Amino acid sequence: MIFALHLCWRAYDLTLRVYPRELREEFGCEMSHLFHHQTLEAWANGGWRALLPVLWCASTEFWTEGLLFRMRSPEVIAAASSLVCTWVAFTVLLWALANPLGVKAIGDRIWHLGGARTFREHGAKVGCADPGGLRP
Amino acid sequence: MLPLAPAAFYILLVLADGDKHGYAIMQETLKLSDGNFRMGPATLYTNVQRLLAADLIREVAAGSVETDGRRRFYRLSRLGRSALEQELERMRKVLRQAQKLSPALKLSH
Repeated sequence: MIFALHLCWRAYDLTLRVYPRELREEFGCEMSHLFHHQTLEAWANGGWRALLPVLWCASTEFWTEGLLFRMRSPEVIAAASSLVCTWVAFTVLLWALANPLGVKAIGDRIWHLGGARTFREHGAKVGCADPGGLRP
Repeated sequence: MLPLAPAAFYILLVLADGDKHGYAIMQETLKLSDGNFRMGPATLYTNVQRLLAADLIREVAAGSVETDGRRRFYRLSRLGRSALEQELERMRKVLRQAQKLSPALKLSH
């Protein structure tokens, strides 16, 4: 059991890195010490049954206090946006390279659809089906 | 800072009873809420940090209380006591309004 507790403490100490630097620098030691104390007491009082709520609480805090704070920082927002944009661009590029005919078909369709609608609307207005014979 | 976040409210409420260190605050909060509000170290110290910055609590020397030297003790400041009283008054008002609006809820005084 001590091994499992040590593992929890080690994991908790690692997750401390996610929390804001000011909090970590000022209260990091106390947070770690408090978690050790909390888990030891829970284990002594009720074993796994008492320990699980403590671990659950610490893990939810990791998301609500740690990661959410990180996600609000401009560095993370910029990095995540950049990653998503790069991934989208790369996927589209790969698809285009793998399907040159598909790209051409989409291009043609856009051209024809746009052109046809414009000419049709214009023709309807002026009373002519295809004004100037410009329709491709 | 009003209305206070639940964690901040419990910290102030627990400290109204006297100086306490982090672990005691956590234990008292759990006891006061009948086990319904469990605060972990991160929530506790994030709120302690905010309350210290807002001068609602302050850090004090351990004094005569037995301690292992690593623990830091906190005390409710005058501003913190006033904020707690305001928050309690706000809660009373909310409760009175709720009682007026919905007698069917059978809220006790």
